[in-house]
Amino acid sequence: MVVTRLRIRELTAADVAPVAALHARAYPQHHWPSEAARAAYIRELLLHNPWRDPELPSWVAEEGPRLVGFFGVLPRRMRFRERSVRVAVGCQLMVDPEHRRSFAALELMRRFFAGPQDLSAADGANDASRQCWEACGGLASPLHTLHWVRLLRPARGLLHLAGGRTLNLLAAPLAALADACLRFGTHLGSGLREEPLDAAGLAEAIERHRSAFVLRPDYDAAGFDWLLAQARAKRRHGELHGALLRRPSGHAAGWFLYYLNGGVSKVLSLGGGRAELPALFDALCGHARSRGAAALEGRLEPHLAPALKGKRCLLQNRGIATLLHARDPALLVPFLRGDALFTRLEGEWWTRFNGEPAPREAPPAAAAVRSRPASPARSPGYSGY
Amino acid sequence: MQASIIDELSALFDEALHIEVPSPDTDLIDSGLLDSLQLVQLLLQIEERMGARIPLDEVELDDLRSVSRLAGLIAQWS
Repeated sequence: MVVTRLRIRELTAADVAPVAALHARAYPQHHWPSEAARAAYIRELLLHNPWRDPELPSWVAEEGPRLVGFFGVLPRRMRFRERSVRVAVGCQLMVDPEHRRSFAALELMRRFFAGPQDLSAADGANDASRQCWEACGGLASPLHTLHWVRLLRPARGLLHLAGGRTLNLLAAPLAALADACLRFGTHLGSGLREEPLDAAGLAEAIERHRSAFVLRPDYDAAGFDWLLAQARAKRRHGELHGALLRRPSGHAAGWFLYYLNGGVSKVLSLGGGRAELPALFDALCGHARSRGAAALEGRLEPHLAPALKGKRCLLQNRGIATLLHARDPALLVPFLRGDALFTRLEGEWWTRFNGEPAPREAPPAAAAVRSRPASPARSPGYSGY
Repeated sequence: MQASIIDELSALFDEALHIEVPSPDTDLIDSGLLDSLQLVQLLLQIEERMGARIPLDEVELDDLRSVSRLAGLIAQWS
């Protein structure tokens, strides 16, 4: 009997086209304008990101001459107390549909875990990935699996949550009328002053509230600018909005970043001091509501949980897991205790591997995310929940 | 001992995964019977029904390629 041998090796530039072809076979439902665009994105994200680290590569699985599996890795840097921590964010674990009768997924994951990173993470994981991750010694963070939803225009928000484009079209005028009669959320102001969010502002806010986050991202200007440009280029959830918020005294209270659309807008990152978070949440809700959002949703990151008290949020479990793995269990404790700052911005949620529903512009070079003025409700750029 | 584990494993393949394994030495990968996710589910079933936890981060995947090799691991880890 010929024993099939998988070979796991590091991703190289020459693999990008075969990986893109594999991605097309594994995810035929994802829309890309061309295969060249898909390949260019894979190259940009995994080989040219500002945190690339030769010791934390992405991995491919080969069976003979054929590339049959892939596991993308995005290195990130965080700080655990004062210690620098290497983080490897796993993304896009995939196996050729014609070669699934193998242990390729497990072999790729084991190779990933064997790397020199202090912490491995993945978010947006489905149930199959979660099971493989847990079997290899990792865990799924229980709270991160939940999502909060805050209705800003309750009738329209519920309509969007219920889903269904036809229902939305038919019932939207009635919902708008109902929302005009309702005054939901009596006060969403916060007394905080908004500024455009850039790397310096974020670093200032994280530094000011470092005691609240024993585990926190370690951004430099170039890395954060690149990340913001990438996040801004993601259009499937709407337009990226964000702000740094200051107290009247001038100190940085915190920040928010979210994708605005006429339906359920999605929060990318919300953080700040523990005492400031309820006001930051109100500021975020006010910001989104004044720009036409019907509802806001975000991941239930443990640092946010106390701030949601009394905020009239619904909770959902959509089976989307945040996965963690560390040789030193001390690095996992902050995720449970609520003093880890690990938002969707620190994971893989901002990536565009799923393609985009409509043609889009290339990521702009400008760094700061403007806090744009409120405008009348815009048409939904959002296609489902 | 090993023979009874093999019998129990064969029954588990049949009942939990609906896979009929021709013989204890059949290569589960080369014969196309098992993939990564099914292996994970199998290990969960082994833990639940047979009380043996086989940690994937501590064994070679080649040791899981057949029922007889799996039985050897179960004897070792239970």
